[in-house]
Amino acid sequence: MGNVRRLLFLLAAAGALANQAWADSWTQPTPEELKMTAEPAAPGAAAIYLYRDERADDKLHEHTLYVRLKVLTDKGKDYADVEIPYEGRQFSIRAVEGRTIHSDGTVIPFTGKPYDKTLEKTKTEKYKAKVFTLPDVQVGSILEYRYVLAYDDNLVDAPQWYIQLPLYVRRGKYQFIPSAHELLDAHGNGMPASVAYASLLPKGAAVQFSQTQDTYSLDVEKIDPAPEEEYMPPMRSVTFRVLFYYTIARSADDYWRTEGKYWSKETDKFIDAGKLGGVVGQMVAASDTPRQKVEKIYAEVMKLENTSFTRGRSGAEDKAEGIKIKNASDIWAVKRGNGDEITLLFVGLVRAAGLKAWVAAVTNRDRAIFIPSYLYLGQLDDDIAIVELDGKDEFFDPGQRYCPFGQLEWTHTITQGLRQTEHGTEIVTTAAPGYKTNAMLRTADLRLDPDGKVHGSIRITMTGSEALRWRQLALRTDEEEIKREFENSVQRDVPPGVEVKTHHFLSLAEYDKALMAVLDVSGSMGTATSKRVFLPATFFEAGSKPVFVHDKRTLPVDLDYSYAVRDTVVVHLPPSFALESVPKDADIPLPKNAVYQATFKQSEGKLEATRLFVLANSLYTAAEYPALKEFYQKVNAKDQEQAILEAAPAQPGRPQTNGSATAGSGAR
Amino acid sequence: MRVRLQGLKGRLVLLGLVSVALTPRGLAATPFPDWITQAAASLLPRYPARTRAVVLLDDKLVTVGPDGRATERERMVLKILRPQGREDAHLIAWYNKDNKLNSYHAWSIGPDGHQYTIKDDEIRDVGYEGGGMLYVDLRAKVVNPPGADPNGVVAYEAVRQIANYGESETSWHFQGDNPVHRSVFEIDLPVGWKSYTAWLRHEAATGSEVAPNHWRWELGDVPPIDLDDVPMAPSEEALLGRMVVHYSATDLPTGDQRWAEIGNWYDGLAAPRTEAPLEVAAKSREVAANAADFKGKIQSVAGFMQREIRYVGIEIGVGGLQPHPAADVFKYRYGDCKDKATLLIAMLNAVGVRATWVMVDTHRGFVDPALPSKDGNHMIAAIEMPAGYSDPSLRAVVAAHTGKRYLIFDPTDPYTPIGLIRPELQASYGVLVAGKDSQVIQLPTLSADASTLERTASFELGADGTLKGKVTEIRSGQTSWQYRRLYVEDGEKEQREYMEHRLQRDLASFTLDSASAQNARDMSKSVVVDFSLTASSYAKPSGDLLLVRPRILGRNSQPYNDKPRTYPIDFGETGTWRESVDVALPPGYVVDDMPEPVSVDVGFASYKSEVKALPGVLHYSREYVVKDMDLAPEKSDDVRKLMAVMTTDENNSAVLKKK
Repeated sequence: MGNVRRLLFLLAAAGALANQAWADSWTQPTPEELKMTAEPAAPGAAAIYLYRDERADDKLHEHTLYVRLKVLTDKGKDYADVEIPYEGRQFSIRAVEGRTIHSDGTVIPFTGKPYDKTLEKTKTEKYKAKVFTLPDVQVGSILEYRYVLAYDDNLVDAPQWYIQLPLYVRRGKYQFIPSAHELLDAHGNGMPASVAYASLLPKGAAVQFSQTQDTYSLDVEKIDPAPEEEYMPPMRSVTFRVLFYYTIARSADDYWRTEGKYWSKETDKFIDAGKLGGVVGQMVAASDTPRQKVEKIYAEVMKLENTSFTRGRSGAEDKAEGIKIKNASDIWAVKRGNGDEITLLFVGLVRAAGLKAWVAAVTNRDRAIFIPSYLYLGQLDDDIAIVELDGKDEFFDPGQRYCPFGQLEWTHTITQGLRQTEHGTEIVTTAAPGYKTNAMLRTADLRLDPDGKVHGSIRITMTGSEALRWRQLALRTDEEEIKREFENSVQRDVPPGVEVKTHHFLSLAEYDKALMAVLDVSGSMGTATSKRVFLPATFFEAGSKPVFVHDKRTLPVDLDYSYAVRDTVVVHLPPSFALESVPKDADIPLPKNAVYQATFKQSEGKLEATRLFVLANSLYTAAEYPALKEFYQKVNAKDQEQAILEAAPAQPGRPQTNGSATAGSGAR
Repeated sequence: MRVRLQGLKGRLVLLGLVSVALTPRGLAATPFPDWITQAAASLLPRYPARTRAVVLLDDKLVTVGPDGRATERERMVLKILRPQGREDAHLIAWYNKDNKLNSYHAWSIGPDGHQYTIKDDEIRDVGYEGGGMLYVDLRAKVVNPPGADPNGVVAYEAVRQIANYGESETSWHFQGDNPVHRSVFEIDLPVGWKSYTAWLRHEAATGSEVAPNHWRWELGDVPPIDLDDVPMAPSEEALLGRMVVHYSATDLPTGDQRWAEIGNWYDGLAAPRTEAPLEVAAKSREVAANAADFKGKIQSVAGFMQREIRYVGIEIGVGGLQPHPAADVFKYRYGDCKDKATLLIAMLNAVGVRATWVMVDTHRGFVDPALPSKDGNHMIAAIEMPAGYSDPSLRAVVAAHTGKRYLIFDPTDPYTPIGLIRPELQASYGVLVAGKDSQVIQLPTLSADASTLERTASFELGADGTLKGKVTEIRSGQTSWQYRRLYVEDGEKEQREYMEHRLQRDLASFTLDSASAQNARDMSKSVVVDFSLTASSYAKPSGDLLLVRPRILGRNSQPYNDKPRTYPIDFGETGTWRESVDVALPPGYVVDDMPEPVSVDVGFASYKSEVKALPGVLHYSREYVVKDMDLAPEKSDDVRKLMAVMTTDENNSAVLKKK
């Protein structure tokens, strides 16, 4: 399917064009640029771009980049190392020039030769990089360099201007001269060289077009660095940018309609539902309801080997097995396929069962945000399925092995993409599942000995995303490995001194059931003074760390998906000890978004604690961050409260301090 | 310095990769070799369930010509046992302009028994990436063979030319992180040539002369080095067994004399690169102009190297071993480790101080006196101390067998002051390059007072549990390294975020009110870190009581477990960590109960702490001292005991009660 989504424009008529030599001289730095030691608009910056000039000329078949960069700290010296990756068959880098200017105005020219590095070469592809480093770089230096990216005369390359970079940009200038030739599109059709672009720009900045010069241009200034914050949505896909492309589409709607038609046709060609009638006849009965039919088909495709989680086979292997994959019925015949292929098979089978079903290709939410105005099919990642049941569209994710029926893997939720419809294609938006979809129930039954040793068992039952994660990890590895990784994940947050070991899983390969993990508990728990013993009250989160620690926030918060966790912990106490006090019950709300409740009870030699955490919303604005952070901090503080035991009079012994060491970060 | 290609094979195996040599010629006509099918039919012992893959056969033949040029032929057969073993089945063959690939054949057998021969269009050619190097001419042919699933078998045969830069040794890396069922090594030498072997971490096996001056060794069922779930583990490189064969047309020295030859060989390669133009000498004299004595001179020049010369690695052919000319490094102000060491030597010479190279490896234990070899991954410097000179701040001093004393210094390390060396170099071995007087030396282990942290803090505790106060940390030696880097290289945002992440490990709810550091650039002074914080809900209510953890910041304990120990224990560093913390109690509260004092001394380390109830104040103090960082497995019980005591102390609580 990748070829369908890829656009490549070739010149219908190629002509030899002369290479352009650098006509401009270097820029004389201003006294202020030489002397500056910091940029007030970017406090603490390692370096800034004083000026960045990108020009693309599809008539000359070359792009040029000119950079003036000021080094402000030792770390900023790293920007003297320049690596320019490029496609090596049709593109080349030439005219690399550079110089270093010290803060006293001394100029040290770059006299070396750039190295040509092979990144990767195959029978059909070649990727290279030119690398060089500028000489005698000091804090305060201005680094200046430029180069030309040239490409074959039968090729055009519409530029992509990424305006917002890791460094602050004082001033940037961008220019694009498009080709005037007739082009061929990815489908082999001739087309006039019509240019369009998608842009995300700061207020006041706009792409200008000069009709007399047939040139697009953009001037920007004072561009902040691209933000980087923990738990941020995939903002890298929505930084300031202008993305040009050649197109025959007159509007975004026109583009998605036209390209969608090609995509949908290719998709249906692969599905070829007509060949699946016999297969589906073995799966469903005529008397089944539509939902029953879909459930049965879903169950069948879930049994197939999903090579997205194991290993894709090479052409040699397929040939050795006499396999040629041309359509969905071939996938069924060989009983294996990648996630997208299995999704298309599922849609084909549902159609063959007489139901309405479509394919949607979506942008994975952990990678990027779909931008409808960016007319590029390459935004789309995975295929999902849509089936009309009871007059409504329902979404399925058969390409994600073990994904529960009627649910989507979380990266396919709250995102957009392109879907098939009865009349063509349209943009689709997927929904946010409720927190009940992703539930976890944890119970611990523990017995504390007089010497502080603890033993017992843990049961953790999971549905939704968490169960899917472990099941898919088991597909990539094996049960032995996930036992180890699972116990490590639990071990991280239980009290210091406690050791957990995964005993077994239940329903690891049954997507329609809850996944259960059973763990054994050993080690020791609690600390002691001369009179008392202190026990972690919440157990499962006693060692957890606060989620948010930074005060400042500029970006939204993305916590992936909503969920609910309910804990029940019973600690049987030794007879020689009595509970002196337990933490107070707590009810901590984050109105409309989350809630935390904890109860602590002492009864007949037992400490019983319950804990409920519900995150009903996984996306928050930056304005909501302070409240979200406060909520999490309150929860974390509550999770670390302790119950106090005291020795009953005339009873021998008391729990010793931790007898083993499984905690500690080593941070000093 | 980078590891030579011959050494790379072993390193790649450590990374879970298999190194092979490839060439895209004549594959289709190659019959399926019976040595693969024979190896695939091997009866294997029972391996632990976590074993990813097993090397059924590792067979290497080195052929040395009368001119000393060598070629190597490798055969390898690997069987995948678990899904994770697929990662071991990516066949990777490194080469460069001086280590060319002559031939290659690669095959695989799927779990269903189908036999595959790799074709040209299944081979990728990739360049070397990473390691902080700007350009290295190393490239690799990479194959993902078909059938690479559990019970599948992958195999290759490769022939590669070995670059000859004047040395004459080859290594047999017979151990990795997967078990090796059968490993064979052969060397074919011209008649009359001499050779000898040295072994490390494996009993020496006797070689057999299967043809005139053609020697063969074989090992069976070599266990893997498996460091998963091993806390405080040394590096894998420090544990793997290997053998080195030295060979020569003339008589071969052994032991210390061989080490001397290796150093002498490198001296010949590198010494001409120290010749430098007048401006290098002039700059050296300029930076050392105000130096009063030896220490002042070396401090000045070392400071120049650390501040002014950027780390940029460019290696082509012999450039993996031979430094660039000092003149170029000086002119362009950049270079890699061996370049920096070379410029340092040239600059010190200009001010009358003699210095030389020390060839080392950053995995302590990889270089071992029992195994003379040129292999290593780093270059540092040894500065000759004047006779009788001593200074308490110059600690990293070694004595050579010539009677000369050398100060060890790493000019690539920008944040370790001259006089000290960072932990991964301490106690490791290296080759002191001193012409015919070259020798293997052990770098010093610095005493516990060479790296110290003194933390003092004063807090006020509110009745609502809020803790507010100031902390001062005086950091010297290794404990200052990260803070020098943070406050020299990073901006305010990164500095603040680093400190907030630090507090995150100890506090559930907090605000970092301020943070600053002094002396980060001044290597002659300790770094002083000041910060203040407010931690709400620090003291936890429990009934009518208020629980306070006296240890507020920093953990010295490290994760450990109860499993039997077979590998050595690595503490990572020596040092002393002390703290003294006062917490003013909320009005009306008194200390009702508190942890008992703790004191444990296990020889190689000690830990003591004490909580005191002073009028209106809860006082906590502790001291942790690590004197020895490398321990035998037999010390495991002591380490476990130490970590248990520390973990308990760090998590213990005091109880406050209203009067």
